[in-house]
Amino acid sequence: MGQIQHHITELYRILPERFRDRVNLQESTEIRMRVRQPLIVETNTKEYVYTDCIIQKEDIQECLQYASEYSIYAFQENIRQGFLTIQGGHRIGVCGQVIIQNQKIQLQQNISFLNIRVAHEIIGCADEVMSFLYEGGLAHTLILSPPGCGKTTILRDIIVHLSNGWGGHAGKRVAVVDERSEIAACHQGVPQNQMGIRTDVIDNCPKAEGIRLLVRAMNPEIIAVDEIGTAQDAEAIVYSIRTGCVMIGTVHAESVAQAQENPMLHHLISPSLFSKCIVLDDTKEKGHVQYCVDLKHKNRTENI
Amino acid sequence: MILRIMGAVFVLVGMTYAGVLAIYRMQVRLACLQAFETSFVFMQQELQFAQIRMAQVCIHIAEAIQNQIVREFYKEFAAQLQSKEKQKFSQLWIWKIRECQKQAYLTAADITILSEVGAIPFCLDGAAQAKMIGQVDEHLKRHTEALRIQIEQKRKLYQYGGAIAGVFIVILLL
Repeated sequence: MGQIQHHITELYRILPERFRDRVNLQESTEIRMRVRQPLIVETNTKEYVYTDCIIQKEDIQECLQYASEYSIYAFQENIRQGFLTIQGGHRIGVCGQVIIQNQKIQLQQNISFLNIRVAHEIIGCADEVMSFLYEGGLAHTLILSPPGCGKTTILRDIIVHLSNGWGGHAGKRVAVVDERSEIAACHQGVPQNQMGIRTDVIDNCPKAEGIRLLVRAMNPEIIAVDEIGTAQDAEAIVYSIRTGCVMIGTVHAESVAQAQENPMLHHLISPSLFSKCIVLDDTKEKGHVQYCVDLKHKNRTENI
Repeated sequence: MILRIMGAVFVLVGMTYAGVLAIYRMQVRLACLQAFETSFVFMQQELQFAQIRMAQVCIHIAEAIQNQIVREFYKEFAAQLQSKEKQKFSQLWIWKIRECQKQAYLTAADITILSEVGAIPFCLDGAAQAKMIGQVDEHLKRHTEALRIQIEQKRKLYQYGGAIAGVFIVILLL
């Protein structure tokens, strides 16, 4: 399917010192730390519960110290949003006591739960859909799947191919609005994942503002976004399409029909806007392409 | 007789030197503590307004501080923070403070106050973090002021006392 790249060296460094020699992080996908509970390491196939590694509050603090490079005060906004991205592209979800002001989360404190999601980019996972993307010319494309089926991973690989050029096609200027730091996994503004030689990334920015900024500032040919779902997202996307940029985005949906039922999206999925759709599932493996649809030319390709 | 005179001169010079050395060490110690005071003020400003990483804060401080010992301290501490081998901040800080103890002639009381920075809990906002460092800075200021007064009072005693003690011993010897 593709070459999986793991960057686990950084993960060992951010673990509390007393656990580093006792835990095996090979093939891990998630590391869970919960106060007064054992450390848990999840892989694709198994869950390892380290009963001799009971997490204390000090361990959470120590982990955050290392993850924030001894500068937790500089991650206040990230903590408020519930995650921070470290070198290597790994994301640490944080959960604690929330302070609400004006019905919005102002701050999180007393962090007691960490979910370390191990970054893994699968290089080449979008090879099978690139021909479909280029067929008849690049068009606005949506990638649809239920949660956890590899939309973001495939989107990332598509971005790299479009940016670098693929199959004799010239590379394009790609701009990415990485609202949740999941696509490029920027650490201090530097993408930790491969993004291609012609790709610009705006990190941790709402899609609507990010799209407008990129169109004004970076002169992109293609704009990529993740998880389109709100009316503001849809509005910004229509604005971007009108400027002549090709849009590539992802949506939570099991099928094109289901996506069209979403009132925010149904007007976007049409021959004049998002005319190409790639639908994923995890029946065989994560990121399995169920079918591709070209609404303009009324083509449907099954089981690529 | 010549030996006695030589011995007497040796004792006189030695006692005077001891007095001057004691004052010199106190002045080095005072200069270092004052440099640390300045560095804590810098640190507060950087944390409150710049929101940059602690290692970078230490590098900026090292560039701004004139005192050689404290400048090297922050340079090396920044290198430790950026090292791939992660250790707790408190451990690293106390370890580096103890390393410069000899060079700066710091006493146990000085170490105790300076170590307080390592013990500061990590705050989720820059203003609170800066305030905590400010409290250590206040404590250090009082301590440094007391040391400065002590040096003023003892300067003449050490400088001339050494010589007077030397003369007294010389008279005894002769």
